[in-house]
Amino acid sequence: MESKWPDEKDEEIAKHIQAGETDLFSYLINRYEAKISRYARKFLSDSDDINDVLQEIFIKVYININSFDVSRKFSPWIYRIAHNELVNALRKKKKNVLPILNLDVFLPYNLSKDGLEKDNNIRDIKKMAETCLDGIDAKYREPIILFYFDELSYKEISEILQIPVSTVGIRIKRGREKMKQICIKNEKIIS
Amino acid sequence: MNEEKHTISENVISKIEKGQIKMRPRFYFLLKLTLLIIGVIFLTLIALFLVSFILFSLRQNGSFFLPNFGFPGIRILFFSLPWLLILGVIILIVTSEIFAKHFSFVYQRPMLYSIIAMAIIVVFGGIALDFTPLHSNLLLNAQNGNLPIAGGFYRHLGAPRIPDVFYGSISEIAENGFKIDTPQAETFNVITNEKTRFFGGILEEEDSVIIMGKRNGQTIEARDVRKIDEAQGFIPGPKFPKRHPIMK
Repeated sequence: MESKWPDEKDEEIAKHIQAGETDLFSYLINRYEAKISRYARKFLSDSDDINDVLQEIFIKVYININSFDVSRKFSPWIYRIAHNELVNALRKKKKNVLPILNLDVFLPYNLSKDGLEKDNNIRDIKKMAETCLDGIDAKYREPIILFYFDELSYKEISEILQIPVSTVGIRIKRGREKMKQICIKNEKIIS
Repeated sequence: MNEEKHTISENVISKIEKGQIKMRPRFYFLLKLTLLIIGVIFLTLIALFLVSFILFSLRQNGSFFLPNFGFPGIRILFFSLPWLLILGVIILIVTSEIFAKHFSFVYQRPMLYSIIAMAIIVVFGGIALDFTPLHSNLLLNAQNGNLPIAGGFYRHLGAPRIPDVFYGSISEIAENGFKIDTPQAETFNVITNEKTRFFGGILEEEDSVIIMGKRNGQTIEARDVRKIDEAQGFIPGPKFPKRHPIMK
């Protein structure tokens, strides 16, 4: 069993768990724990909180695994649960950093072709994000993490955040610009 | 970190093994989805029904034809609109949108699109429903006391009266005016004089008219009289007398 499952797709493992092979759930935890932990760390600072939220996320994943459609990708589904749990955790801490409704989901946006493709300077942006990401609003921070660090597509991010695909693009674009401004400001202060 | 990893995984697996956490059955999610779909359809249908009811009540009291009197008519129409019902329709559309946002084909597009789509369905569905005799029959039943649940709703809101505005069909032409029958099954003597302004051509029996003037008992001293064609309403509708079963 050990040699078979590590190469299987997440969706295949989820299908077996749905069929009752619950011991396979540990594979899914091992695959996603580091990713979800990094995602959560961008919103929560206390490591105890992060561990509690992580555990709650995986419990929710197990409880709701039968709602996962195995013909679709597993990662947006698990990130959606993680997103909801983070929103709940932040709400409990009275940090409403992720508002439920934003005006940018209301109007359509035209995304230029280059906006839909991955930025050529991914490494630069990741480097910039390491130092300046915390300074921007959570609504911009979240899609930037999912796009640049977790390498999810606009459509997948749209599924996780349940917002229009064009809004994902516009938030990433605006978030990048805000990050740049913060970095420039910080550099000025240092120099 | 490695130790933490182990703990989370072990904790969750241990809870699964002890039966402390259980998978929800597929049936639960199917039921949830079905209720969600039913909820969206139900809210949309109520909104659609309310829109058709608003159109019906506006037609009943002649509000539809007030824009024919120009700006004063539009002003009266604005203030005579059933704003509470309109607010109810807006709340229903927004609630329906919140329910519908659980579906990817809705949330992946800007909210403006889905709200416009919902509004189009509700408004055009409402107009279509207004063409049926549904509301006329329900109002008739309400007035005869045969509509126990929605009776009050129809009696109070089905044919609201606008002060100084009267709508009806001419039943008799007299020397100093004419008689009208209203959709509320009332008959008025309309008195005209040299100051009365007439719009829309020569009046004949069975013409539909809208009158602005002062009421004194069953008599109306007409200030303005406009002959109307139902197609002149801001939303076209069926012909006046034929679709009002309460008319004699």
